[in-house]
Amino acid sequence: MFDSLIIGIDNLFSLNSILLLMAGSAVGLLFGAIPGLGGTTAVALMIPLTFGMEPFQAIILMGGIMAATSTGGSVSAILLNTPGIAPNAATTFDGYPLAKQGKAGMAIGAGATASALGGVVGIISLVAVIPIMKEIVLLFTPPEFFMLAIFGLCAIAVSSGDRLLQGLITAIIGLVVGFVGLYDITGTVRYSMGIPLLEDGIKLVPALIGLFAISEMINLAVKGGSIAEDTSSIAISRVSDGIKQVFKNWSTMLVGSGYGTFIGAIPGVGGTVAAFLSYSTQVQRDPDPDIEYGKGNIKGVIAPESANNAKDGGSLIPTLAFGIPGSAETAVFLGVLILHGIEPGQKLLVENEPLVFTLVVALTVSVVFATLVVLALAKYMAMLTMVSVNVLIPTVSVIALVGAYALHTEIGDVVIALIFAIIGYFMIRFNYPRVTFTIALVLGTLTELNFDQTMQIHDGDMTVFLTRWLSVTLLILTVLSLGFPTFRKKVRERNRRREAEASK
Amino acid sequence: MLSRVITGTAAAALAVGASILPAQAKNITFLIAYGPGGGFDTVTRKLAPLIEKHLGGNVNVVPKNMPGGRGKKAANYLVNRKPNGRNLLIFNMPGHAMPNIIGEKADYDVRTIDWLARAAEFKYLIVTSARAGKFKTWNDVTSYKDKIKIPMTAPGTTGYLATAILMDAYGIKPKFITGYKSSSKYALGVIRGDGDLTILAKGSFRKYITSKKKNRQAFKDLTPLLEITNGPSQFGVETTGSLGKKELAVLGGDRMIGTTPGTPKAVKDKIANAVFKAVSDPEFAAWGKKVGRDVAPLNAAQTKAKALELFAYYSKFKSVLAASVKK
Repeated sequence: MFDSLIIGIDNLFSLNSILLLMAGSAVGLLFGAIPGLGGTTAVALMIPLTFGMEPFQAIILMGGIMAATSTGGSVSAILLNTPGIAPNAATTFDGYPLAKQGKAGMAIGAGATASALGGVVGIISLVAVIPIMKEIVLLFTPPEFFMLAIFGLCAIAVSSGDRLLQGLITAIIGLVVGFVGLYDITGTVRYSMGIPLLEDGIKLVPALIGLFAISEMINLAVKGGSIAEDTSSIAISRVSDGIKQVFKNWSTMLVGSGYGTFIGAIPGVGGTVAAFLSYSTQVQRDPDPDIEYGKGNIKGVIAPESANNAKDGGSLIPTLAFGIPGSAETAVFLGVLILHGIEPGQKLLVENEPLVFTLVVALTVSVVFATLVVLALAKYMAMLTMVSVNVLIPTVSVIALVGAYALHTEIGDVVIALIFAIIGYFMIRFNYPRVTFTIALVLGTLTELNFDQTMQIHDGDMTVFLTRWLSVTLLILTVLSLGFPTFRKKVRERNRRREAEASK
Repeated sequence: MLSRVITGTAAAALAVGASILPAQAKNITFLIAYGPGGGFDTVTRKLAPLIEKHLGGNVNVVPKNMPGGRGKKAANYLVNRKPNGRNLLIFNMPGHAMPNIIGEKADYDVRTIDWLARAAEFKYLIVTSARAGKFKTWNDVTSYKDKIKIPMTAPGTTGYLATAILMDAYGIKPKFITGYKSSSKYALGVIRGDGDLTILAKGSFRKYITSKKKNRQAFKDLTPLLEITNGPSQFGVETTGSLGKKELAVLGGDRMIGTTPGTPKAVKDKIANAVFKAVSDPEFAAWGKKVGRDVAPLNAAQTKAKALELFAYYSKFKSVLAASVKK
């Protein structure tokens, strides 16, 4: 293994390779930051460029792209309330409120640092688990996936805070929206109302672009001003504060990275779920925060950002070990490997270990490089929040709509983004949480599919959820996560009462 | 203020819109009916530069993913273009023929597509998990009294339909565990015990089991039970032919390239010639061998005949197919 690592480092440290890595990182940052494009599109577009390359060079270019996209995506999530890619959606919840408070620099600094550290943790985990990949992948069957999704859905209760009824209403709407389209269990199209565009379901990215970015632009147009509410008080020099916050909240970063790696390794779940679960766990772990979540708590940026970068390493586990992509991006990457005659699977790990380590080294260097670029430019990026609405609204709206279109070059996606923009605007106006809607949209179909598969496999026997150790463990965690915040709050209230009584 | 915002938005939209218009009207769009990263995506992207090479001139062949409706969206798009040979698509046969056979709504009809060439084909194999040890031979399967659980993609997919026809031929009532996104995922479902057996393309199976280190290979658990062929078995198991079911040998998949119906003969012949040369190119054959894809070139006339043959064959199982899609 050590020899392979040396060969991996050696492959990377030549002028050609470093240039390829930097080009990959730059493309990744750009495609990550422009809403709707993302790493999958970037990797797919770059495939023809790799035709004349050696396999290790193609791997370096693709590694650079994959490592940098979610770092780029965090910037637009924080500054424009637009997730550059779907896994950055959870970053908008606290990142954008921080930008509105004039703390965009701090949020970007924290997001980029958490991304880098999360990425490194994910990659270290990838290297560490290579010998036990098989066991990890086989551990999760539909009952476990179902329980995992339920665990995430419980975040709805926590995320709603004091708006439980509104939270439940938007969650139900999110679930209903998630049910639209082709259902893989039955092979039939549901609730499409005969509209061809809806036959494949509501696509997540255009919906999120409308719900978060364009709706916010409508809101700004009505209100006027700029994103940051009080531009006179802004000092765009708090990037280092953001970096410090990550080290101060190291446990949040570590838990997020753990989620990212773990969930990334499970095929078909992906970075979006990892980021949402990490965010919701953070909210549940911290029931009495200094700053309410959703209103600009820096830990609400650190948790999802560390998770969505750590998943890059994690999602390569099933990709390399079994040829099963852990995400859409790794699915395209798998295509690149196949194009270059590299067969993913154990054969790759056994016979081509140096190539695997070239990828590992490329991912590590690229994630750090992308973070340094973002940190260096954060100060200038943060100035965006001070730009007048007359400039900002046309620019962001067009970038967002072009992003929605570019994803599948489908005009219908633009219509979806606009419809969700109107829905999002009214949600802002009447104080209905968009977080709960998004969580239900992301996890609803995963929950339903795995429940149905469990029932098919076990002939409708519901006790299966209570007879498998991992499923039971996840159930216990769900119950604890629901009960723990209330329990901890009550204990704290009782302690406060006692202290007050004692001081009388 | 609102009017200024609207003016600004319109101006910006015009500027960006202009930049995303097609750069060259002479490009050929090579549609991919599924998302990036899959088999169709890689084959299309491998073939595009080869078609460019054999077409000559300055024509670019640009791959474009158009996933949706299990491949129907791209096929509908293709037949609604002007018939000028500027759009190509690799059809997934028999999957693309299903809507035509069972009477589902589709703008296209595989019998009227202007076929150019066939790139590849694959045949199936029934596999189980050695670890589960439930079935050692195909005879164990046919004599099994309980329901046989089969992890599979959604009803209506090529693998599902082939399994449904095969099980029907042996009088076995299968219980499909549906919802898996791809063959590698339902194969993994068999390994971890979600179901009893499943169907795999022989190339995929070969890819999954070739490993030097057995203890680190989950897919090594897969073991073949029945091979769909009229020839000798490549895997040392019983074949549908040896068991007297010769008509089942057709079950498999063909990757056929077509263009918009009604394309002028001269244009069609020129493109068909280039596409056939591309699929017969030694570079494509070498690549196919390397990545385990069965490259099987057919020219335009042979491809058309094959499409009609497949349509006629699968039409015989219309009721089985229609029932499986409705489930």
